[in-house]
Amino acid sequence: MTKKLNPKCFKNWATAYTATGYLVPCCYCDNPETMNDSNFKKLLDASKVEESNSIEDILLSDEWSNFRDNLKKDIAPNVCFRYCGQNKTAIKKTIYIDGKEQFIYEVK
Amino acid sequence: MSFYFLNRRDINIDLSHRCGLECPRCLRTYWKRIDKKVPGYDMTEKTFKKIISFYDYLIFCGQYSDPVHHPNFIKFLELSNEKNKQVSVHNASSLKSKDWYIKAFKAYPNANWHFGIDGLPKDSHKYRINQDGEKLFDIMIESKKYLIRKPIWQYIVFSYNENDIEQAKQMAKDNNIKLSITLSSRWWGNDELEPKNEELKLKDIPKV
Repeated sequence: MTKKLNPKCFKNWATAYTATGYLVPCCYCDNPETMNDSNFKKLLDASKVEESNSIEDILLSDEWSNFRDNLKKDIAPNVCFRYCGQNKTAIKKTIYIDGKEQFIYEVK
Repeated sequence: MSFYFLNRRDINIDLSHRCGLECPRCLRTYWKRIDKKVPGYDMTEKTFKKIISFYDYLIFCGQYSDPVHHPNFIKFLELSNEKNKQVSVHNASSLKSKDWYIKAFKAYPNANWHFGIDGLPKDSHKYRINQDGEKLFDIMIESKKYLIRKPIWQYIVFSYNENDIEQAKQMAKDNNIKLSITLSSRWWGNDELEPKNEELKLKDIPKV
């Protein structure tokens, strides 16, 4: 079966800053398996915020560009398929209640 | 060169490695299991300023930490206020004093505070190990005196609290706070925390 991605980081999903000082495409990346993935480490090499002049420098780096290009070709760490694989079911569903008002938000 | 990721102006910030809780599904438990310290350090003010010079919406929601345990968190809230950034704070640790919270609320009254109290306040420690749910619930109510936005009570549904949802709705209504009821998919096999009611759980996401 071909694994396809529908990356949240191509949409409005928040970027993330890790407790270890890295800018990463999203908070789901911040787990031991992904942070130790040899390919993902190439992205991390360009993502230490305290060592960069600006956030723009990180986001415009070749490493982030390559990561983007790979996502488009469905090449990514396992975590991306887990949380951003196509046609998957909801991973979280939240019902917001404010007095009589209510709305439901699903993360897929 | 790519401009692709430049459009996103929201950032989820894990300010440090510090938290007072020991929630069983938290990544912190991974490091505890292998007998290592949780990795990380406190974000510096210099780094924080770099981040707020680019991002417009700051979500203080730790992967490993609770933001209230960063030693300069109140200062960071003040800086966010000065720069007129949108802010959400996700807090579950109840170890800070009420006086500390009042300073934090005053530092940025327009911040959106989410309090993770999973279940009735008397029971929330069953998942949020070390949490004093009743203390944090009182602080959430107190926050209304200082915050512009209504605080949000975040309630993740577990087996021990799945029958208390209606009571929680009534408590939220009585106290004029928002309630967010979250159904999780983060269950393991034979998981005693998993709700029994099928309507209150999501199927686990497929492994790849």
